Amino acid sequence: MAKKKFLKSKRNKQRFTVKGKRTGFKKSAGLDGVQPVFGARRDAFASEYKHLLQEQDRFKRRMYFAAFFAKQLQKIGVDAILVGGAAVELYTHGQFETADMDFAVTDAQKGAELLKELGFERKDSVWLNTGLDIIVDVSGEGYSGDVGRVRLVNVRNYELKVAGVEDLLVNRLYSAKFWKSNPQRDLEEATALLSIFAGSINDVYLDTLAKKNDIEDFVKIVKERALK
Amino acid sequence: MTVNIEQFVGGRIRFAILNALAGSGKPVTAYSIAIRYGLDPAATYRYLAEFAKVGIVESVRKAQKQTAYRLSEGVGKAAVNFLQYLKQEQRIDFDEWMRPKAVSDRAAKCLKARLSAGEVAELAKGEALGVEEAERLLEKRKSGELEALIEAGRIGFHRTFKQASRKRSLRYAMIE
Repeated sequence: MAKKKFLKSKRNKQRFTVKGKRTGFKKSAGLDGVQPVFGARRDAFASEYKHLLQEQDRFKRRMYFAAFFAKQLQKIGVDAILVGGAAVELYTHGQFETADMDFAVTDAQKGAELLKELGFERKDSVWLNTGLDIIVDVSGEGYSGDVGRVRLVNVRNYELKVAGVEDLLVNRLYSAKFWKSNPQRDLEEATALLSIFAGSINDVYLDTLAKKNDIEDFVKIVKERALK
Repeated sequence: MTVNIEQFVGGRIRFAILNALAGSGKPVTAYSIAIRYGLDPAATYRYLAEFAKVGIVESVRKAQKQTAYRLSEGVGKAAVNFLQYLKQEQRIDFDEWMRPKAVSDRAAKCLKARLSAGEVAELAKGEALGVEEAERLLEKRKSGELEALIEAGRIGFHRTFKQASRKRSLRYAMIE
């Protein structure tokens, strides 16, 4: 009912219709770079897009989108887990911002198709929506962590799966020790995660992973810093 | 079917005791566990003695002849982790997560996690990667990471530029 009312208003009719056909968004509607390529899911996204545009807080906007995207993927039988920097960003409430949102999905092809339908443009190997200021990277290589430790985050009416804290911690510390691309940030993120989730981290699992990845020394350092 | 995880260890009190020990970094007395978690002190003591018998906890003699308990290294910690894993409330409510109090608590922890200038300098002293090692590691990198960074920079630049030009035109309008 609310959706009908919304689409009936003169401004929105102009936005979502071309020659009487409901097609999604027009570029001229002031939404930078958004292409009207929505398919069957366009109505759902039209309403969601409105909410997303209204959200001024970049962190919230990204998380709302992530949850919505995961839900849409689930509808087409694809499982998605938010991983990497965006997962750390969520757990630390945007204290450690990241450029893109990485999703580990069970079918990368379907993920890419959905992003296209949702108005994203492919730029090299990532998907970009300048209007929302969101960059998405979908990987079909599978989730490398323990699925049993994935945390579920209820965002609005959606459910977002986020990589387990222990797996993220190990990932950061491995990066700090071996990649060395930004060890300062990696160590800070790992310390923050450990200190936020001190009560619910599985030590045995963490220690096993640390041993397997040869980062026991770094885990020790971070534990000392977090519990200081 | 709902499984009551607490039954794995014989009930709520035993589970609470193990959780209390898992959450404490140092040995704690039966009395302090009972007070803190609102348990019956006699039952708490009895269950701790039971756990000690089967090797899940270890007793430590403290000053003033008090006995404190901690989880044993192997069996105890493994048992608790297993139970926590089954019991863990993996679900996070985003609105709760975003409550100002919770946000400020986490922000404080993140601030504390920042490295000091001295620690950063210490890190910078680390040896640089050799070419072979770098290549080996780069093979594992995802192709999208760099592109994402470049795009984010581009968007950020565009936004800043737009803001700056808006401010400038506003200033000119005021002068005129």
